[in-house]
Amino acid sequence: MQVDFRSREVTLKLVYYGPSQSGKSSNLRALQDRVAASHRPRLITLDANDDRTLFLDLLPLSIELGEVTLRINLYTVPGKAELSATRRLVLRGVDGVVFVADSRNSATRSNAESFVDLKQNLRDIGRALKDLPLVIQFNKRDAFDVRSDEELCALAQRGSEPVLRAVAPRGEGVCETFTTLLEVVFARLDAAGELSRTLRLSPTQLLELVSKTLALPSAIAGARIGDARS
Amino acid sequence: MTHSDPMDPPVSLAALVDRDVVRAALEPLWTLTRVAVRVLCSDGTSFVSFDDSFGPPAICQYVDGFELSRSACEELVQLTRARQQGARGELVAHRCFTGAEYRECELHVDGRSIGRVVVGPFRPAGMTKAEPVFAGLDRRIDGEFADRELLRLPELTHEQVDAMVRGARATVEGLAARGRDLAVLRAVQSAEQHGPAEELARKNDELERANAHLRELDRVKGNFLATISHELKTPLTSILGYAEMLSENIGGVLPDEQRGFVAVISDRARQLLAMITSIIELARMDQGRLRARATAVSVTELAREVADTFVPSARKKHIQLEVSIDERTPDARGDAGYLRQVLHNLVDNAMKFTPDGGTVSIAISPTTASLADPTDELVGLAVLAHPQPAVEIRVSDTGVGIPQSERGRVFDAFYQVDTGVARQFGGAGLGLAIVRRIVDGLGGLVRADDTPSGTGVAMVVVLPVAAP
Repeated sequence: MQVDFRSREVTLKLVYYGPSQSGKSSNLRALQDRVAASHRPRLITLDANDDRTLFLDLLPLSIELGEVTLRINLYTVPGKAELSATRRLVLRGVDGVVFVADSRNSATRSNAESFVDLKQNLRDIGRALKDLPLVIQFNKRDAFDVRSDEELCALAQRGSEPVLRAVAPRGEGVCETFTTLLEVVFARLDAAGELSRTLRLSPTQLLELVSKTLALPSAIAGARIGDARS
Repeated sequence: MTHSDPMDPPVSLAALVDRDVVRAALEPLWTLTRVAVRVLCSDGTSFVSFDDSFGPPAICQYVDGFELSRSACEELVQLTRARQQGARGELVAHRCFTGAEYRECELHVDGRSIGRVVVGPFRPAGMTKAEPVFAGLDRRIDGEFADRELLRLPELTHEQVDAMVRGARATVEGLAARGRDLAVLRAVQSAEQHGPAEELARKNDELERANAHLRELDRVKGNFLATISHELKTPLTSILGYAEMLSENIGGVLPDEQRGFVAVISDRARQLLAMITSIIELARMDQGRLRARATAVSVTELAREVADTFVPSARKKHIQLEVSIDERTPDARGDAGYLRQVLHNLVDNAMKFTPDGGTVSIAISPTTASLADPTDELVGLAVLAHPQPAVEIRVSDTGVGIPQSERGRVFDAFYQVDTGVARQFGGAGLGLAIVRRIVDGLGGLVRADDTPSGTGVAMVVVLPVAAP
C-alpha cells in the first residue's frame, strides 16, 4: 500500500500471475468491461519490441472515498518463462496476487512451475508468499479435459487461500476473483489497523463501497471452490 | 509501508505531453472561433493558452475599469476555482455577471486529474444585451456601452462550445494517455537496469535480520520446551515411581482397597505422561519444519509391526484387529520413525473410540492422489498438487463415528468432537493433530472418510510413492 498524503491517494498494487496463456489479460479485459461505465479505466498494454520483449497489462482503477482517492492498479505479468526479471519488477510493492491457473490437465505442470517461479521471484525481492494475500483462480473451466471440481475442492479445503473457478473470456468468476482478493487484501492491511486509520473505513465497509462504486456483484457465490457459501 | 511503485510514476501535464503538440492541436479551435482556449495544469498554472494578443476581450476590460465590478469578477473567479468540480468528465458551465459564459472540464489520465481545459468567455447565441446586474454595480457603468462591448465577444451556441471543450479534452487526454504509457515503460526499463543491485543489497540486509531473529526465536523456543519437558516430566516420574513402590509393597503391605487406589494413580499418571509427551512432540513439530528424512519406507511392514503391538490391548477390549494388505503397494516416501507414529496414533485413536466387541481394521493399498511436494506452508496447494501414484493407509473403526461437518476439524490440536465422549475415552485430541503435522510435512494427505458399513469412521492417510 502506497500512501501519498499530499495528493490524498492510497494506491494498492494487485498482480495477476500465472503461466503463459492462462488468461491473465482476459481477466483484466473482462473486469474492464464489467466495471461501471463512470469508472471504466483504460487498459494499458505495454508491448515494446526492443532488445527484449516487455509485455504486460495495467488496469488502473480509481475510487473516490470522500477526501481520499483509492487507486487500485491491476497488473499482469508476462507469462513467458524467460521474462523473470520483468515479473520480479511487477511484483515489487505488490499488495496481493491472483494466481491464474489453467484448469486443463495438460497445464498442471506449467501451473506448478509458474507458481514456484512466483514464490522464487517474491523471495528474490525480499517478500514471502505465505505473508501475501493470495487467491487462486482456476480459469478455462469450460475447456475439455479439465481437472475435476472434486479434486480442486479437496485441495481448496486443505490449502489456506481461496480458490475460485472462472471462464475469463465470458467474464465468469472474474469479478468474484477480484472482490475475493480485495477482501483478503483489505483484511490483511487492516491487521495492524492501518487501513481503518488511513481511510476511516472498516475492511467490510470498504469492500462494500468499492463493489458498489464499480457496480461489481457483491455476492460471491458459486465461483468459490470448497467454501460453505458455494 | 509506504513505498513507491516504479511502475506507477506520478502524473503531470508537463511530464506527459509535449506543449508544442498540444498547441498545434488546439490552435484551429481558437483560429476558427476567436474564443479563448486555455489548458491549465492541476496547480492552476497555464500550460497552453490561446487568446487575443491585444489583451483581454473588450467587455472584460470594461469590467476591470470599475473597482466594484473588478473585485466582483475576481471574487467570482475565486469562487469558481474553489467550487467542487463536476463529476468525472462532466462539462461545467460558468456564467459571468455580464452574461458572458465559460465552459470548463477536468482532464484525467488513468483516474488522476492532470489539469483543466477552459473555453471562454463567449457570448451565448441570441444574447444581445449585457445582464442588467452589471450596470447596477456602479452608477458610472453605461449599460448601452456594455451591450456593445458584449456584442464584440464571439457568439457560440452551447452545442458549439461543448464540442470545442470535448474536442480539446479528447486531444489532451489522448496525448497524455500515450505519454503515460511511455512514462510507465521508461520507468520499467530504468528500474530493470537499476533494480537488481538495490534488490540484492536490500535482500541481503533483510536476510541478515531475519536470520538473527530466527536464531533468537529458536533459542527461546528451545529453552521453553526443555523447561516444560523437565518441569512436567520430573515430578510425574517421581509419582509413577513411588506409586509403583507402593503397589509392590516396598513401603509395607497395602490392603487390597488401597492397592486399587494406587493402581488408579499409576494409570492416570501414565496417561498424563503420554499427553505431555504428545504436547512436547507437537510443539517440536510446530517449531520448525518437520525434520523428516525422505527415504523409501515399506508401509506394509510398518503396518504389521504396529498391529502386533496392539494385539494385547485389543484382546483386553475384545476388539477384533484386522490387517489387510495389498502386496502390490509400493514403498512410500517418508521417514520410518514418523510413519510408525502415524500408524500408531491412528490405530490408538481407533481403539479408543471402538466399543468392546467392535472391529478396528488397517488396510494398506496403492492409489492415485493429488499430492504436492512437502512444503513448510501449504500455500498454493491447489496449484502445486498433481495426480500421482500414492500409498493409502486406511484405519477404520466401528465406534461412534464423526459427523460430516466435524471431519475437517478432527485433525486440529485439542479438538474433540464431543467433550462428553472425550471424557469417556480420555486423551487430549492430540494424536490426530500429530498425524496431520507429520503427513503434511511428508507431502501427504489426511482425511476422515465413511466406512462401507456406515458405522464408525475411517481415517485415511495418503503418502507419495518413493522414487523408484
